[in-house]
Amino acid sequence: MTARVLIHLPATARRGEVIEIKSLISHPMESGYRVGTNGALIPRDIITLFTCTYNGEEIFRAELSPAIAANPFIAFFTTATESGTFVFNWSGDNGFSATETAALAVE
Amino acid sequence: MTGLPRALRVLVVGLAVFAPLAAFAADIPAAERRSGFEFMGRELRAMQEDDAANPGMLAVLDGEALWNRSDGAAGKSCAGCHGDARHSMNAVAARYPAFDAARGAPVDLEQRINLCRTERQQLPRLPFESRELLALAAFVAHQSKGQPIAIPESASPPRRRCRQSDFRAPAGPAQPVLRAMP
Repeated sequence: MTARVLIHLPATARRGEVIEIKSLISHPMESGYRVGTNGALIPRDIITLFTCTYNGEEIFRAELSPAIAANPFIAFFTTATESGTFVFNWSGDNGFSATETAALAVE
Repeated sequence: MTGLPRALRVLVVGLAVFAPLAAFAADIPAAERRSGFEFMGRELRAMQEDDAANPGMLAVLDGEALWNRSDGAAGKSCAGCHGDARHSMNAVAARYPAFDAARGAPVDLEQRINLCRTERQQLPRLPFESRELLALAAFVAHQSKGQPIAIPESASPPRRRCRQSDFRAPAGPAQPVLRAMP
């Protein structure tokens, strides 16, 4: 199944208001250190990079490591400056890539 | 830790579903019956109440996709019969497990989904604890979120002693059979 993504942020905000953005993505985050039932290492399969852009400008970036649990939940704050779209991007091992967008209206 | 939050969510649903049965046996007064949710820690409760942080919501999204997927010999999706789950499945999970008069046995939500699959959709049963069955059950149960368990009196089985046949495996693919050595 494709990765499921949940984004939560307010639909509208006042100019200059600090808003919280929450993101959740389904991913096994296989660390690469675990051993399977056959005794062999399970190959690493993690998300390595998460970015968020606000009207094209990068406002948040996180590098993820094997110690991060499955279904990474990342929440952060930003200042609402103008109406526009947020683009969220996750990328990682085995060519994993997921993109999601969300709109914000600033009054 | 893989899948732990989802397992917890299912556990909570399970506790909530089976609490009334346990109460039925021990005759705990209705006012004193509590959901398993109330026995969870503060952080777990906060996570479960926040749909943005609850990884169980990912399973709900998976379940919604499965709900709308046409499949099987009958070419039917769940939505093909039941329509929009937000209306048709509202309060349904709160009625389970229920006593199924036709089968003469109790049926829980997962078994009901599998009955629908085998009888209406002509699809094989989904294994218990499989990703698909958990997702469908989570999606259906989500439509009753926050509602109290309300098993109708008429759906309760008649009081009697358990029989060995109560615990037999449901019909399906043949189980391996132990045979006596010659």
